[in-house]
Amino acid sequence: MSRRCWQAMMGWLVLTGLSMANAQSNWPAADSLYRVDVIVFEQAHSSPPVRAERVVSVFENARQLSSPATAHALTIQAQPRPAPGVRPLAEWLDWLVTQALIRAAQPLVGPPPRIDVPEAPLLNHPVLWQQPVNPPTDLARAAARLDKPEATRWCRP
Amino acid sequence: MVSTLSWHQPLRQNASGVAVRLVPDASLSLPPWPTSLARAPRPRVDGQLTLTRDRFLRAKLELKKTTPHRHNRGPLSLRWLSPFGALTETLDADRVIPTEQWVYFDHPSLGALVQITPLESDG
Repeated sequence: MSRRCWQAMMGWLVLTGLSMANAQSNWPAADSLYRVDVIVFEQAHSSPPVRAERVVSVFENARQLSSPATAHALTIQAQPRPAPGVRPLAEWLDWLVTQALIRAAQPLVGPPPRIDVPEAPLLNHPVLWQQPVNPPTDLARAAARLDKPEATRWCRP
Repeated sequence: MVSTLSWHQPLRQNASGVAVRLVPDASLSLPPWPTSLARAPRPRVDGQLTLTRDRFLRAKLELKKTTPHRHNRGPLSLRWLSPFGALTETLDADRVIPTEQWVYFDHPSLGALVQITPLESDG
């Protein structure tokens, strides 16, 4: 093998190694992957707002979970036939929100009592994998205000 | 119940967070001209969640509840057509949250439960 051919091969190997290293550096590390569960609900007894305003959505730049471009982001879908003895997903979520509202309405005096959370239904993740949702082991802590009340800023126009 | 969402998301140290829309298909547009009362939209909740990780895990939750509001006064007010505005309420919270716990975000008319779980303890 000639010297020029040998140098070309070494250069190709160096460039390939650098590009692979760069590609791997862009891949998120295993310890930086998080699972995010969010439940949004409306309070049962809310006071009416006080001022009118034109509707302009300020969240248009947020990533849409249902968009095909973000197929890795998934929307919860209940299994059509849950296992016997397991509550339906909607019922379990309603129960969770109800307990959170009950806990939020009570004053924080001493440690909150422990609540036995029923087993959560299985959630169907069609793209990544199917896995059971992690039921909260201590719902009282989730429902209670973890920080001081002023940590959540209430903006009422 | 407005929405229940679950997804996996990479969170790098000191990286700018990606905002994730919490209520899919929540676009609501009202024309400035009078609208038929039969087509009056119902209250909508829209929002996004932005997670960032530096020394601590931070969650920036922004929710906006929009309630259509009928203006009964003014020169454009007719019997069957009435201009619509909207009453808005906003929840804007930015705080450090623990992992593997349900965290409750409180508001007079809205509420949200958020749980962040590292993947290695996800099962």
